[in-house]
Amino acid sequence: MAMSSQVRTVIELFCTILQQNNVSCIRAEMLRQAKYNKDSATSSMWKLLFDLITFCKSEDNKITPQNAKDEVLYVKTELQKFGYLSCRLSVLPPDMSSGSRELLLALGWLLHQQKVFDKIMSRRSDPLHQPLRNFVKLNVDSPEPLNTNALGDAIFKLPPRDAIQQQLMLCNKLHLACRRLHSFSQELRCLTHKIHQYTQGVSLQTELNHLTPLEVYLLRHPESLKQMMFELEKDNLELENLFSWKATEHVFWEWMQSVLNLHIQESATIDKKISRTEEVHLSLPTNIAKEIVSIRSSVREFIFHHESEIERLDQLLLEKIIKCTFSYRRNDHKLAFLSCWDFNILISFQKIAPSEIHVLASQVDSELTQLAGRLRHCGRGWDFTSDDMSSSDGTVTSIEPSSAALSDGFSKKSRPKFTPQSEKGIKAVKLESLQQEVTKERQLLEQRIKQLETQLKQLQLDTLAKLQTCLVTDPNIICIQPRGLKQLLNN
Amino acid sequence: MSVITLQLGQCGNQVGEQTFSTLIDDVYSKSIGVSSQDNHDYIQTCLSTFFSQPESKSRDGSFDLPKARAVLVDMETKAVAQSLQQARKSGKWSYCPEQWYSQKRGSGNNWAYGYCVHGPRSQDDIMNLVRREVEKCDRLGGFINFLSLAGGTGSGVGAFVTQSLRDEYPFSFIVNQVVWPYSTGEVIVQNYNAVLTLSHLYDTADAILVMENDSLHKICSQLLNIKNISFRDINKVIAHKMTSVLQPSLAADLGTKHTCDLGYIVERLTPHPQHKLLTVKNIPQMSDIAKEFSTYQWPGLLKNLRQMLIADSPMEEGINWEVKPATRTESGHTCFNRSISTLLVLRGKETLSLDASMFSDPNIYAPWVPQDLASCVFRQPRWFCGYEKAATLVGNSSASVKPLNKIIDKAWNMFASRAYVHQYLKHGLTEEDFLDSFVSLEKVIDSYTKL
Amino acid sequence: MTQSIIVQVGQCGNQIGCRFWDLALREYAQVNKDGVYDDSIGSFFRNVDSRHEDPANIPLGEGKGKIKSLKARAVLVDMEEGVVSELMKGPLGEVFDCRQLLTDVSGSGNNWATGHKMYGSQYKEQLSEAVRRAAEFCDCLQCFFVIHSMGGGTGSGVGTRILNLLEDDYPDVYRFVTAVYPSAEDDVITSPYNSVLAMRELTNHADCVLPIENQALVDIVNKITQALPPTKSGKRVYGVSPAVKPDSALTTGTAVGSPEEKPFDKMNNLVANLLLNLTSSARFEGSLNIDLNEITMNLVPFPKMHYLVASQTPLYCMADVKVPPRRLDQMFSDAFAKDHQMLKVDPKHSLYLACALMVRGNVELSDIRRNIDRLKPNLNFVHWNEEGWKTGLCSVAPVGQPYSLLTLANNTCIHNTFTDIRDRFTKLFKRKAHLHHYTQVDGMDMSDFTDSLESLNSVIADYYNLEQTMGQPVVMEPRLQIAS
Repeated sequence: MAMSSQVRTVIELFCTILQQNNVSCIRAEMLRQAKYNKDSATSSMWKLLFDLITFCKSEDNKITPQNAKDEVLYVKTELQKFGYLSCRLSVLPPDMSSGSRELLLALGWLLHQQKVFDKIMSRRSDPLHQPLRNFVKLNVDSPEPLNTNALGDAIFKLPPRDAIQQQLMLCNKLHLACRRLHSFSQELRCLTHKIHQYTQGVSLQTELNHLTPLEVYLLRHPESLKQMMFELEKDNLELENLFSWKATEHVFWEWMQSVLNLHIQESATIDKKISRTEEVHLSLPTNIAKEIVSIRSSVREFIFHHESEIERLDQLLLEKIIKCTFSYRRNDHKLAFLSCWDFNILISFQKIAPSEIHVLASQVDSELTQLAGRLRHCGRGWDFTSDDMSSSDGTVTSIEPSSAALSDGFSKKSRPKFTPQSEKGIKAVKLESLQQEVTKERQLLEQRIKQLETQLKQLQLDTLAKLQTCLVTDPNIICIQPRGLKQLLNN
Repeated sequence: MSVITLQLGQCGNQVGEQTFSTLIDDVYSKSIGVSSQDNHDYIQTCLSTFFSQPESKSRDGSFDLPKARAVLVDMETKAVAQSLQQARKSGKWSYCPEQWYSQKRGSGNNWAYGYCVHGPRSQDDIMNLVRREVEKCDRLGGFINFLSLAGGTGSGVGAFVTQSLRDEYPFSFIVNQVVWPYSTGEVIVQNYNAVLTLSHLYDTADAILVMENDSLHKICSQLLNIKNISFRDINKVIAHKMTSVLQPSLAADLGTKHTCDLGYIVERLTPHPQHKLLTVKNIPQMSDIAKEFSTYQWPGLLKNLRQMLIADSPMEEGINWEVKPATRTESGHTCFNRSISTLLVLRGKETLSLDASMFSDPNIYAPWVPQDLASCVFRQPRWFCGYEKAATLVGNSSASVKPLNKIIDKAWNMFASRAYVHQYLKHGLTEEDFLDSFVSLEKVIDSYTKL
Repeated sequence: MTQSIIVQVGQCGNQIGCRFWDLALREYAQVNKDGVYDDSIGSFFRNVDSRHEDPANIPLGEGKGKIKSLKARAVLVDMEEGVVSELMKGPLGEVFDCRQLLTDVSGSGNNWATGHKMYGSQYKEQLSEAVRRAAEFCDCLQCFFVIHSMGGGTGSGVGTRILNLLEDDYPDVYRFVTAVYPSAEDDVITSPYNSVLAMRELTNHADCVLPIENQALVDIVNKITQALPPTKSGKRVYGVSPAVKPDSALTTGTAVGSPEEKPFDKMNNLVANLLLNLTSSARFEGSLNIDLNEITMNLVPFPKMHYLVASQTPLYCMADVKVPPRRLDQMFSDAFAKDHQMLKVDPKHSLYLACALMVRGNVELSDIRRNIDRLKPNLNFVHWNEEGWKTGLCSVAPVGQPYSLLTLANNTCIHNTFTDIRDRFTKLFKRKAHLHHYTQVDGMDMSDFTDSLESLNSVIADYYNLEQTMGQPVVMEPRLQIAS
């Protein structure tokens, strides 16, 4: 009983620390419920995991997921990126309806793997060293944030020319705003320097030879010392909490061990059920890697082909320009010309096309990689059924999504081993559905590539024809504006 | 925040000097209409932005006068000397000694001489003066360059110096106030000079404030009732316009302090890189005598100002009230003056509560401008230059196309006969340079007419 | 501020120069009452301590230095001694010193070849040296004003030779030439030869030429004399309108201290005033300055078409102190009238390529604008320069006048004057009259004659062709299109 009350205080301490350091806000009760896999704690646990992940990634700009589904997806993928490759976690329902214990285990793993408490310690700053602007809460109404979504929607409603104009405008505005920010930061630097300069020789801290802006502020506003005292006391309290956490941490981990034990007990029965019903082997077509490689190379070839077409177009245009320039030189009164500037734009515009191709190519690439990921997923299913599950050395091999791994990732030798700490074997998904998925995916990919091919060809021919007619029929066209060219392409 | 002013050429020096005088006159104006604390803030903001205030007392115990944050540049001595002397005579402010640069031999209305010869030759000296001024600032809000388009020094050296500023201070804001020459006569090669200058400024400056001599002349004769109009009168109108925009005011986005944030003005008004031409319209404008006997109501003022914008009228007299924002001619071109963005500055009584929503009507802006970025309002309850109520509208609109078109027309016409071109080639310009300038301005016109 | 050097060559050049220095001193005396040596005076004079043997410049001294002794920035050249030595003996003698003079005794005998080829080569070093001396006293030399006649031998010959020298030695310094063209009834028989030969040099080597015709000067002087009150009666007529002030700058005939008026003084005054008004905007303050380099920049559209027709108004000034705008407007109207031009031409009925209005005195910008608007409809401007006006405002009025106007026009009417000269030249040349006087001079060749004639013909053709476009429909070059 003494133990259990100690557990309670430690878990409460854990929650307080997270709260005091602005990591997350969770009630100790939720953790307790999660131990017994109560569904009521699930959403709180998701939230907690989400907060911890963002804390670990130290992103200032917190993403706020739109709905539960996004949040679940985010946590799942991020945990996988950290190396937590539990199948059970990944099959948890996206509506946050169940699986709180699974989440609690993930929490335990994350706390340890990411050294969360060390991070909390290292990110603390003491009130005396905080920037002045944190201490003095200025009454500045932060300007209402632009409704970017509405803006984005509005752009799609505009005709393409206007949309480009708007993009240009917003982009330049951003540029100007950055310049203003730059001038503000410069001013801050300048003024801080002045404070340092004027307080040369006076110091409250041994390592400095001048006062900090905060110290000067405190000296000039004695009434704010009260606030400082308060903040210091609060800081002290928080530090004490962290200190006692260090002393009693083991209790938490022991508790976590009990959770794990509970989990193993219960999951054994479930696993048995699964293994009886879903003991399956995944057989992949042997030539799939080759096929993917050949598809990839055909895409490459296709891209090169397109690039050479573009070069040819470039050449044509250049000839035309030279002709124009000549006619200008010959006849002073017939001023046909293309200024250098235009010419550059023109060339650079031509280069947009290949870059678009690159985008397409990278799309194809990423699709391939996804496919590979799925295949690997299948491979994992294999592994767990055939390999010895009892070896738990705690190492987790992450899988590189590189093409090299892809091409020979199917040989037994380099097959990724997945052995999570507490997991016995996992019978993965049905083989049949997997196979179907793979073939479907492949078909889709092929279709997409074909589609792209025909589209690009069409586009090329159109452009070529239009440019040629344009250059041949209308001798008065002197200077083809990038915008004009784009419109030609769009039409 | 501080704003540094560069006065370039004869016109630039005259207008610059006048602007500082008007700023100071407004600061020490008797009729203010606000509490003395607010007035003190206003004065301090203005003085710290455009002037540097000496910290120590001078020998006779009195405080030194505020010193304009300015660099005076001319390739002749006379205009600079005159500006320095005028400021000294005022007894209210002065220029920093040694913050001027002049040469003996002017640019002789030759843009190429200014840009290709004088510019590179005096670059180091001028940039040194600028650096000295910049080092005095805690925060450099930006540069305002005063110059005319017609002459050789203001335009040629001006374009070169603006370029140098851009190179040396890539993150600062550069606003060029250009005086557009009379459409008839002043300098014969003014159209060449203007074309060359504008095309260069379009690459380097963030915003170009256009002051048309023809419109200013009309304002002098019709609104201010001046019989014999001199350059001083015209410069006063320019200075009034500049001051009414630049003096401290409150902007909703910038907190509760009075500011004259040049960067913010630029960001609001010229967000699009291909649209940089700004015009300033004021209401009311009248002679000092008439001020005492006039009263105005805000709704009327704003209504007039809005119509001045839509019908592109330089002043409140003779506005064409027929023009409506929705009308389009058959050819598809709008026959009203369409804008990218506007900045409304309201000064005087009741301004803090005034409703200015009539300027955020999406119909008067290009269709692709997001509604909340189109218009912006600055407010200042303090009276301005003795006006109990005064409104200023800075617009980025197609208004500048007409005069620009005229200038290009004439310059192109002249260029087709190659008249005067030899004078430019002599100093290292090429015919291609001319053509490049024509192209870039044709593009500007194109993008404004397509609004 | 910049400085200018006056190079006066030959009898005519020195006589005009003499009047110029006299009037310049008077003008400064009027403007600068403190007797302080400043930038403005410095543009034509140096301030020296004359007690020294070789007087050195006294520096400007922040506008506090008093005028000690003024020396003109001038070079005086004549191949006779008469005019120059008389000048040196006269009251103006002090402003020159002997190192600025270059004289010979025998004269050029009205022969361009003697002046240009013979004396030109013989005195080349001395001429260079004299100019160099004057130039070294300037800290920013902007302009040479060369004054000479076209008809005589020394002026046209040596004068144009100096022009060549200046171009070689000082390529960056502007060369303005004030050339006095002979009348049709000129007593020098060879004057057409001299004029045409000199013209080629002017066309090729000057930046800007202000041609002046003797006959035009005579007519203007007559006009003034008629308007002046009869001073010999000794009575001043007041209250009679129009009362003319007798001592305004244009009408001042007599030199200071000189007992009697010389025959050409009145005419020379006109030319001297032209130079003063031309440089006033560069020397004095004004709200719209015109520097000397702006004149060529604005008025010379093509390199060889640099001949400008000048006119000055008012010729005399009313005693009335008040300036009714009507009279001011009259001044502008007169400037475009035939009888106020310094050449016997009629610019109003020819084509203007460009026109400068240089106003001095109590005139406002709006006055100029009003008058431009008023005059413009009656004038023809070339189609590519419809608004070819260059305006200047100098706040210092000329001595004795409240305001004045100098117009400089690049007008095609000048081809008539040139054609006249060419016709007179061909008349002689056909008969080969007096040619041997020229060809016997070393270095002189028949090709000089044919080349000069050709050069003149091309100038005439340039102006003539432009005049033919007057009133013709113009095909405008289409503007650049932005294809989209």
